[in-house]
Amino acid sequence: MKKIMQALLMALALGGCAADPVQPWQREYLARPEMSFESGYLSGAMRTHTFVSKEAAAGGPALAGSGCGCN
Amino acid sequence: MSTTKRPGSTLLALTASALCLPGYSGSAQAWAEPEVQTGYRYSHYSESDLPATDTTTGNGERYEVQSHQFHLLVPQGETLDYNVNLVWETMSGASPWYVMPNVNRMPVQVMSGATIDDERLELTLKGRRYRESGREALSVGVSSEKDYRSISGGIETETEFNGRRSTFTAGAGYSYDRLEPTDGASARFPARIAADDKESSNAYLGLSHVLGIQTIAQVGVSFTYANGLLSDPYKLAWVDSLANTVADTRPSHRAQWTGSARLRHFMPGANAALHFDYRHFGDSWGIVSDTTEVSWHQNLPGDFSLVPSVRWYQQGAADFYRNFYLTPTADNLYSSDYRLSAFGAFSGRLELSKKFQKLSLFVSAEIYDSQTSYSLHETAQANPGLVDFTVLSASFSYRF
Repeated sequence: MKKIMQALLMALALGGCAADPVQPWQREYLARPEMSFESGYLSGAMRTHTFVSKEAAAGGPALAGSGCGCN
Repeated sequence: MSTTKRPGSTLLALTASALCLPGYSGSAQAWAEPEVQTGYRYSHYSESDLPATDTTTGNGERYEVQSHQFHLLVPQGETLDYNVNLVWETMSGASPWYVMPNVNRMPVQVMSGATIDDERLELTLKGRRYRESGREALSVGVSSEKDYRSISGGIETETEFNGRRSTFTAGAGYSYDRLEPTDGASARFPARIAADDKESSNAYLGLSHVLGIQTIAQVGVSFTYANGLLSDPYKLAWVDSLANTVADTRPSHRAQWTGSARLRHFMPGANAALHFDYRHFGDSWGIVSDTTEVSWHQNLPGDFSLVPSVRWYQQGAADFYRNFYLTPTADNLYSSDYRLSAFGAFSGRLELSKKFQKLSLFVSAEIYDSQTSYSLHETAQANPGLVDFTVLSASFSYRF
């Protein structure tokens, strides 16, 4: 856990080193739907549910929601 | 609540594209979604039969699930919107019961037989309140099956800073689950529990940052703590010296943590976006795993979009996991559940979508293949119950 935190803090520090800040009028690409961090709500939720049911790992930058007796 | 007049739709679109940053759940913006949205998705999940030689009866029939998802988003004024999500699933088939050695001392799977016939209903409500530099969300959910009920709740927040080049996200949630296994404490299964419960709390932090006009990245950490009945009441484990099975028995506490990183990069020349997602997982049961997924979002003429993706998952085994046990354990922990074994999996997915003015249509197919050779963690013998599956889906979304 400590090593994970150190790696993430390093990544954040490097991320802050962008040479030229992006101006608001330059963000047309970033605003495109395909640039979202989340897939479509319906597909993303079901894929996460499937993988959590079939693998030991769970979690990430999202809430877990209700449980299930998925086998 | 904002007292400014809501901008016209054209100015909204220009402002959103100029100022918004894709955060945890998409664009963080000062206003709620302007339109009512609805969607429906049908999925068919089907597991491949196990090879006859890997089972004790020669019948490797497994599990299938039909899922129906419904989604509704309703805005209220400029700063509030509400999401309603309903999932209805029907499940049937057989699942792995326990593993035992054959005459050659190789592990073979004992299946439950086609005994599963269940339905699951899940309802989640989420309200979101928008402010100048972000938003908050409150969600509640319930899930119900014949033998399993769960209630959950959570709060989330999202805030832009650093000249709107960075977005901080955080959330916390809790769930309470009640299990009442079929045939619990019955004459047929006297050792199976009649009822028990478990609790789970989780929290996450995320930070996204614009790296350039075409690139944005996000890092995050999460922590989950679960306690209560964490064993599977339907599974058993074979103990050689007893020539018999014992109940699947796992620790009553489990701490889990993840670190994740995500990257989105748009290539104007190709009119496509590259996605890279990575997650590292660890827990107090000794399991370590890594998940890596790469996808390519290709925009096509006629408002079509094609998204191929590849996912690689690999995990090590839980400390107390064995295919079968030679003698009783000192700590009284037992599990031969393949989901706690060392294995890896590759899955490939393809999604095709078509966008009209208000309607969007999607179809997708995903194939999942698991083997111990796909994992970087060594194991002497693979669990014979490793699963392969296929998911076929079709969905639509509509903006009123």
